[in-house]
Amino acid sequence: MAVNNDAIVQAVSGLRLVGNEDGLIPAFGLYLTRHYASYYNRISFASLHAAEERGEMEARAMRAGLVDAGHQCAFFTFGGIMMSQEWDAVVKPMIETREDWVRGIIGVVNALGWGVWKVENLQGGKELKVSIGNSYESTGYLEDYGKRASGGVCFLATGGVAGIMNLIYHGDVTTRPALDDGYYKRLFADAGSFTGTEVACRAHGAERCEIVARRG
Amino acid sequence: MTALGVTLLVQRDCLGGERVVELQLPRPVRLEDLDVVEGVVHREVLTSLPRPFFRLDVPGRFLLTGIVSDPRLRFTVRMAARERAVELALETAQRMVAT
Repeated sequence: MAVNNDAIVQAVSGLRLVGNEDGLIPAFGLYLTRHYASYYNRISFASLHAAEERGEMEARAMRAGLVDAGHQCAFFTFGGIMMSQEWDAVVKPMIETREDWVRGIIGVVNALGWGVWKVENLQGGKELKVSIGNSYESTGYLEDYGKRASGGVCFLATGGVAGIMNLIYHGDVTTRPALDDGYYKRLFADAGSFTGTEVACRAHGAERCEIVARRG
Repeated sequence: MTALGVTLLVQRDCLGGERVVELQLPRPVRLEDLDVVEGVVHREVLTSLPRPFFRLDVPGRFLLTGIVSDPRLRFTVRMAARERAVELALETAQRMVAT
């Protein structure tokens, strides 16, 4: 059975993701939050612009920090999802290969309101290229600042794409490891870890944002 | 493992608040096992999914999730009951197994 993106989006969208009396939304074995995308965007981009005013070294450090936020998000959110009962119920029956794990988690992402993610190229264990239509980061940037002179702004997505590859090919999330500090360091600080690069961004005039993850 | 064959798989804290307890029953969960869980105010069995995922919400105590025909259960225990998380989960699981 091939991984069916539309079926995953429909199934995940049908899950009852609502808060309880503790003010939390337990789902996928973790906690979700309904968060204003604009809020996160504006903090990210204000921080980026402030760093850019201070110079290239500061700007580079800020971009790395914002991408690392994407690594953390991928690690806990995507890692948690891929070890959850919801995953076992919805996605796992469609999985036949390790590459299907990539397509499966991208199907779940497409139910989260982060834009429309599409696998453009996947070479197992080597490279993943994802294009994103209507990414919330580029949409937010364009709305607040207009077209950017240089560079992309989809930092969380960039860290997310690298995180997917690290979880599936570098750290083998299929064996259900504990999502702890040691595993995180192994995934993102090893010599063979995947790193993400945004090679095209709507905020810089592209039609779709494009992110490539390769081993560093 | 308890006398009825229930095994504790995972227990972890989330954000210092609710507590997640994962258990494995000695046999797969059956639909009728869900009937013995007390205090359920919202019951959902998503039979349209490739595997039938269920979710039972017991306010003030826990959210119980799993898959019918799979032996694993996950209890996400509310903050109000977090000190009794493992006890509550084991009690409920053993009642399910005993049916």
